[in-house]
Order: sequence, then structure tokens, then C-alpha cells
Amino acid sequence: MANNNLPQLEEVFHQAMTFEPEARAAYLSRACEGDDDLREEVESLVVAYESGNGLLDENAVTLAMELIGSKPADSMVGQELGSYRILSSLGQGGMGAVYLAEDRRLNRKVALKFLSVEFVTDNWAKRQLIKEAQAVAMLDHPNICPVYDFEEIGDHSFIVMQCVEGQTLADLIRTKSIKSHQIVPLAQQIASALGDAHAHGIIHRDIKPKNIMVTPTEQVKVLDFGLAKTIQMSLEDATESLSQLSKDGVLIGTVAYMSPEQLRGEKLDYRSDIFSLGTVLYEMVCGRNPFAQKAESRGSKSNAEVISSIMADEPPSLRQVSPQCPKDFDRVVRKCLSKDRDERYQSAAELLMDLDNLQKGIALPTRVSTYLNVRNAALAASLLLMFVVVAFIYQAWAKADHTLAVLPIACEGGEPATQCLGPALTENLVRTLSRRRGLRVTTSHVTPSFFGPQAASPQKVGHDLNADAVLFGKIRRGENGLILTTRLENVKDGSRIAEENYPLNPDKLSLLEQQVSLETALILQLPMSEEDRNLFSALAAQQNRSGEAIELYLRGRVYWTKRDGENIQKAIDNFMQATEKDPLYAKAYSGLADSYVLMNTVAYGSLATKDAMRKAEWAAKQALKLDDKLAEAHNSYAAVLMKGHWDWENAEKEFKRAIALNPDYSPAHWGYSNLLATTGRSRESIAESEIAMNQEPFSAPAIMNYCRTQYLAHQIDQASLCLDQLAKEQPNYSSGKYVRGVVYLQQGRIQEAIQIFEEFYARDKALGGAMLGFSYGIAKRRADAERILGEMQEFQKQRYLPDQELAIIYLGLDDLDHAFPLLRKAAQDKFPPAQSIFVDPMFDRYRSDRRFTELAREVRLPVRPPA
Amino acid sequence: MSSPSDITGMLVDWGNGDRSALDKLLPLVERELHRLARSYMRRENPDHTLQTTALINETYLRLVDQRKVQWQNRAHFFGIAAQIMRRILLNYARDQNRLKRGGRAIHVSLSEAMVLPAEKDRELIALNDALNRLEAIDERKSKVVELRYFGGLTVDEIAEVLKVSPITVLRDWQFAKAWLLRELQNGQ
Repeated sequence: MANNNLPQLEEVFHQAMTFEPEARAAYLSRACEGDDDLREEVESLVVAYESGNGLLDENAVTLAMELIGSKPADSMVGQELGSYRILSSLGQGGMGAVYLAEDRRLNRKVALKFLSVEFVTDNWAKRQLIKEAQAVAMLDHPNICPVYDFEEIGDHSFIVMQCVEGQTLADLIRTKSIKSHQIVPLAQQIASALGDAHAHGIIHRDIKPKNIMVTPTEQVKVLDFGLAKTIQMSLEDATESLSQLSKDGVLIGTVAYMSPEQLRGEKLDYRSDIFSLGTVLYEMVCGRNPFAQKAESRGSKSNAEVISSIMADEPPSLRQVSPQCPKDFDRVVRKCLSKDRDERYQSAAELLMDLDNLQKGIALPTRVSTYLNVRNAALAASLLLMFVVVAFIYQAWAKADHTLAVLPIACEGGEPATQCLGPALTENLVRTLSRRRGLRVTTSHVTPSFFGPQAASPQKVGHDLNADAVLFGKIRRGENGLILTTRLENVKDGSRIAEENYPLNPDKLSLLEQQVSLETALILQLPMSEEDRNLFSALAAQQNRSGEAIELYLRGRVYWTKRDGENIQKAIDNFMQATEKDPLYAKAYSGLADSYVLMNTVAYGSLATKDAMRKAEWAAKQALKLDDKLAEAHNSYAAVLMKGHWDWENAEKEFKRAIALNPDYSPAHWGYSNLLATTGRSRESIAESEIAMNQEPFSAPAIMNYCRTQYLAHQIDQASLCLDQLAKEQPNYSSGKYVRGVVYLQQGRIQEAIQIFEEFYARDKALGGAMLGFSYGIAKRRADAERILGEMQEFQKQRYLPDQELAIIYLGLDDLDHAFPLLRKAAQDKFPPAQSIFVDPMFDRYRSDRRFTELAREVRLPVRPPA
Repeated sequence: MSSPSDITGMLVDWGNGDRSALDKLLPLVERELHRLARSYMRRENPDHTLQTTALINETYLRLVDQRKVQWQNRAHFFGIAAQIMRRILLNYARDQNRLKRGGRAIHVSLSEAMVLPAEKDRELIALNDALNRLEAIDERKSKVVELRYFGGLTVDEIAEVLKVSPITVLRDWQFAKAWLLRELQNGQ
């Protein structure tokens, strides 16, 4: 040290430290007054202090402890215990050393987890441990590491477990080996393991990356179920002074993954594991524990900081840390990490459902806290919905110029970003579409959040770009390869103009782009270009048919997918012309059949229902004759058998055949879900309608079909939540509101239901009359119900109105004597909407009536037993 | 193993100025520290850190009959533990450094044992040397660093051990830190 006057040096140093850097020089000039050595000395100390490399900022105790604590205990390698021969050390587990051993009796490798002396000598702890081990041994789940046995041989007590090859999640995180597409599948497996354990009454209590093994085939094995409890309690027992320690802030275990209630020492339930899993999921995405990270940013690594962070801090959004993290995943993690356990997922199963949906690319409910079995659906067969012909779509697009916003096409989970064809496809689409006459194309880098908050909705993005239509889509993996789903929306009101699914062949992207461009042009009624004619010829050559016919067929499908009364005639005209141009065009006949079936169901009046069904049958058979391997044709025929003939068995065969031929053809899943619902197989019907919904991710009718399937399955709460979601995603879809009214009735919210049906009735008597009259009846407003009945009877004289409509009002009035003959007539006429009365919750209260059961027997449908 | 009353006695003797009591005390404390640290580490995720004084605290509680000692003894005990920690750590760093320099491949599985990062053990050795130099100039400041850095003691605890005011401890710490950092930077 240059300066020997230490007290003076110290004094000046401390003074200097109190000044801001700018003022410091002036102070030093004053204080050192020509003593250059002193000044230099102080300056170098200040510089060193301020450039501190963090070396002395933390203390070395932890480091020392890790070092001295980690010296391997006396090795047992080579020893033989009973039938086990110990082969090598696997490291330190929660309670003691873990060894790889050979079980010579069963000739298999096992892991032995030894209990350290503290545990062995404590009989109470040991009993607990045996109890827990026995409980865990009962678990049989692919993602839980099985416990085989608990052994006590000589002085040694150990648990015998499956030997899992692989790495711990902690290792994978540390080495940054987890790819983003692996995260959700891993999370699903962990949640599934927890769900199974919870179902058996076992709480893990120590979920952390180190306790989660991942095998080379990416299978998760969760270790050490329930053992943490034993450890904690035995420790309490062993250490008299624990209360003292606790006062000093010492806690045993892996604090950074503990739930707030665990840290408070409260009684734990399953939701504590959910919290811990949330921290693990967070760490999987961002590489660091959310709470340790917070504490570190405050320059501390102590437990106290971690604990206070768990108690008080909201970890930063995952999307802040990792912008490519899907918003929905962020939301899932946040929900797990809620401080209040009532606000978390209430079960691992619930969490798993969200993860499953995430994996399938279904947007999750945004705010609703209890899980809603989002969406379902089956418009066509419904008694209730048939009147709900919606006017929500298709603005007559004038031939005026359009501005079309093309938004980035996203790839659904599971597809590595580098392999996503979306960006290339988007770019080429923009280019292809830009060449069209009458169309101005703009684009954006904002990927729309399909069902998310309005802020990033396609409509909003389109609006910001001054577009009048917006085209967006996503790519997902179907049974037979990739599928591109596109949706064209009206920017003005967010309504759907069209939605299409295309098989995506990476080798034939340009053809696909042209096809999308062409169909967009068809829908927007833009003039056809030379290129289009060429494309038609190309498609025609590919399919060996006329370009004109293909054009007509595609137009027909565009109208048909709207599934409403308004567009059916247009669809029929196009399909009809297509068959005229090309009498061998099987798909065109199938389209024609589908249109007639739909007409029979939703657009009666213009044509007697039987007549429509006869035509549908003819067209479907024609399609099958031309191409027996066509999924569309089998589906059409199935619909005819179900809705026209009420022939459940053969309809089912045809639906199954259609699905087998093309598992990605959503109308087949949709129709099949209706058949399953009608015949009382509610669980399967929900599953099928969910598939259909996933295949038509932008389709409000498909979502509603899902909601309705839940309703028919008497899952009223789920149906209600599903409708909430539908309303949020598709606020302009009025059918949703109608079904909402139906569900309200089941929830006892009669007044609200009445209000909805009054609105419908005011708009269209045929639409709202039956349900309004029925609701009045339920509300004991007999006079109102009778008034509606009278008005409807009058209405029937002027226009076609199915008898069943009146039957429903009679039912509301409890006038079964009038209602039943009308219902019977509807069934005898094979009026499709009458199919679901035997499962519809609305009719539960009449189901015990003998006439009802008789009717069901006649049409060979099961009557749902009264709940 | 010595009973808590033996250890308490030694601690009391040492507190009363009996230097030899410390010599008898050190190995006992060290053994207990080792034992506890091992048992802690088995329950701990290595990524995760404990409350700094937890281990020493627990060692103390296990070794000392608290009814017979005044609370100040606890601070003294912490002082001893800090010395032990420093020694353990330094020995380890030296061993490891030697092994690495010697080019002998050491096969250590991460799950079996912790390995200090290379720069960490060099840093520790350099810090220890610098601390020895500081001791020659100002023993109390080096003690403050030892207690705080190696012992994890709080400012108040250090003040108690050294019988100075907490303000003095803070000032000592600040100056010593600047001084040590400068030494370490110059040494590179």
C-alpha cells in the first residue's frame, strides 16, 4: 500500500463514496490538496469498488456447503444385498444415495434408493415411508416411475424402483436441450402423471425439474411421489430445534418450487403440485426458475428472497422472456402460478385438458376460470337449431374493387418453426393475389390471434390496414399430411365470408397458392384471369375433367359450407351445373346430395322435405356409383340414411367408411357426432364433434355443434361455458344466442331465455315461436304461451311450419295430449329435427310418459333415463 | 462425539480467553458441519441455495446446549464456523486447481459431486491470499470479510463478534471490499 496513513485514506475514501461520480473529482481535489498519491489511491479504490465483478456480493457459505456436502458418502458399489447387486452410483436423491442395481431374482436393472441414517433410525419416519411407498406402488401410470418394493436388509432400508434411463428435466433445462415444440408434450405427460396420482390421493409435494426424468424417447417419468411429505415430517421429528430454525427462515426442501401455502406451512392439497408444476413449466420455457430469477435480479440468492418472491411477485410474462412462447401457454402457466389456489387449475386433469387443446392448436378460453370443455356442435339434425338460419354471412360483395389484407399464416404447435411453410406460403399468396384485377393486397407482420382478445383479431388488423376483407389461416397436421385452413373475413363486422381446408403438399405449393387465390377471387367475385383458366385446366387435367365443372363445384362448396338456408339454393345451382358439364363428376353429385339434405333440414318450405330427401338420395347414390372410394360420397349417403331413413345402423357404417377413407374430411366427423348423440352415445359424440371443430377451426357452426353435443349429453355447465366462448370468438353468430336461450332454460334462467326468444320471435316468427311459447309455459305464463300458440297456428296457415313446432308449445303448457300426436307425426314423417327429442334435456320431464317411450321404441332410439 | 455440554464448555472457555479451547472446538465443529452439510445437500437441489446461515445455525443448535450459553456465544461460534468454512473452501479449491493443472482427468459425474468452475477456484485462492495481505494491514477488516463472506453473518452479528458498532462493520466492509477487489484486479 502506497499510503501509510490508513485512517486518512479510509476517511477520504468513505467521503468520496458519498459523492455522485461527477462531483467526486472536485471533492478529491479539495480533500487531497496536492497529495497525488492519496488521490490516486482513493480513485483506484473507488474504481475497483464500483467495477466490482460480483465476487464479494454473495457469500461463500453456500458454495462451501455444496462442496463439503457433496462428497460422496461411503460407496456401496459392488455390495450385494439380498437379491440385489449394486452396480454403480446414480447420485444423491431426496433421502439418500441412489444406486443402479441388478435384481438377480427377476433379472432386471433397478434403482435402489437408500434411506440415510437419520431416516433409518427413526421408526416413525420409516413407517411413514413404507406407507407412502406402498401407496405409490399402487400407481400404474406410464409417466410415473414405478416403485416395486420397500426392502430392509441388515442395516439398510431402501426403496426399489424402476431404473429409468434418461436425463432429468433439470439437466435438460441447464443444457438448453428442450426444443420449443417439446414443451407442451412434456407438460402434458407431467400433468397426466399428477392427475393419476391425485386421483389416488397422493400429492407429490416436491415437483421440481430434478424429480422429472425424460427418457430418450421423450417419455416423462415423475419420481419420488409423496416422499417429500415423509422427509419433511421426519425431519421435524428429528430436529427438536426446527421451530427455532423456522424462525430463522430455514426451510427444508426445494424452496424455489414450493407453493405459497407450502411455504406458509399450511395443509396442502393437490393444487400445491399444480403451482410447483407451473414453476417447472415456466423454467422449461425461459431456462430459469421464475422466483429465484426475481430474487437474483435483486442481487440475492438467499432463500428468504426466493420465498418472498414466491409469496409476492408476479413473474414476468413468459412472452416477455421468450417472445415466441404461445400466448395460451403463457396463460396456462400463469394460471398454475396463481398465488391463490382457488384461482389455479383445480385439478391436474383440468390443466391437462388445456394442454391437450394447446397441443391441438385450439385456442383456450380467455377469462373463464373453470375449464370449459370448449366447443362442440351439430347444427343440422337439431330440432332447436333448425330454425336458426343465420343471416350472419355473406354480404353480397359488389363487383367493386376490394382491399384484401393477407395476414401471416401460422403453423400449429408441433411444427418446428424452421419447417413451417406458413411464411413462404403467405409471401407467395400476397404475390399471387396482387396480380389479380380488382384487388388491392396489403399485408401485415401481425399474426392474428384467432380467438384471442379483440386487440389482435384479424378484423382489427384488417381494419388497421384499411382493408375490407382479411385472409388468414393456419397449417396443421392432419391424418394424411398437412392441411391449410384459410378464412376470409369481412373487416366491417368480422363475419365469415368463406373458410376452406386444403391438403398441403409441400412439393406443390404453387398450385395451392393459385388455388387459394382463385377461390378467393371466386368468392370476392373478381374477374377471372387467364391464369385462372389455366389453373382450371390444370386441375381438370389432374382430375381428368373439365375446368368449368371444377370451377362450378368449388363455387358450390363455398356456398354449402355456410350451412344456412340462404345459400343452399345457390349451392344446388352450382353443383347441378357442374354435373351437367361433367356427368361423371362424383364430387359434384355428393355436393348436390349434401345440399338437398341440408335443405330438408334447415330450408324447408320451398320444397317438401321428402322431396328434398329423395333427391339427396339419388345424388348420393350417383356419387357412390361414380366413385366408391370417395369420402364425400359415403358421407353424403350416410346423411341421407340418417336424416332421411332414420336408419342408424347403416348410416353409422357409411360415416365410418367416409372417415376411414379420409379422416380429415370434417363433415363426416360432424355428421357422425350427430348420429352418436341421437343414439345416446354422448361421450363418443362429443369426441367426434370436437374433431370436426378442430378441423374447421374458424367455423362458428362447428363450434356450436360441439357446444350442442355437450348440451345433448346433459353437460349443461360445459355447454354454457362453450357458448360463452363461442360468443366471445364469434360475437356476430346469432345461432349461438339461440342455443344460449335453450341452455338457460336448463339452468333455470327462464327470464333470460324468454328475453332471447322474444327477440328472435320479433325478428322471425318461424324462428322464435316454438321456443318462446315453450318458455312462457315453463314460466307458468299460460296466457302468453297460449297467445303465441294461436299466432303460430295462424302462421302455419300462411306458410309451411312443421307440426313439431306447435308440439313444443303444447309441451310447455303441459298439454301432452295435444303434443304427443304431433310429435308422433313428426317422427313418422321422419322429420330430421325430431330425432334428438329422445336425448334433448329439454324433454327430460316428459320422458317418463308411456307415449314417449313407445315413440322411441318405434323409431328404435334409446330413451335417456330421467336423471 | 462430545456432548453438547462439553462443547458448550469449550465455547465458554474460549469466550473467556482460553485459546486452547478453540483448538479442541474446531475439529468438532468441522465434523458436525460436514455431516449436516451432507444431509442438507441430499435434500437439496444443487441449483438452489439455502439461507446463508442456516447450516451454521443448525450446527450450533445441535452442538451447543443453549441453556448454558449466553446468546453472544452464538456469534462467537459463528466466527469459528466462518474460519472453518474459509479453510474447507480453500483446501477444496487448491485440490481442484492442482488436479486441473496436473492435467489429470477427473471423472466427476455432476450428480455425484459438485465441481467448482475453473475461474471460481482461482478466484478463491486469490481472494484468500489478498485477505491474508489485508490482515497484515488491518486485522479487523479482514475479520469482517471472513465473517461476512465465509461465515454469512449479518452486520449485527459481526458487530457482536468483533465488539464494534454496526456502522463500523459497514465501513470496514466497504473499504475492505474496495481494497480486495483492487488487489484481485491488479493480480490479473
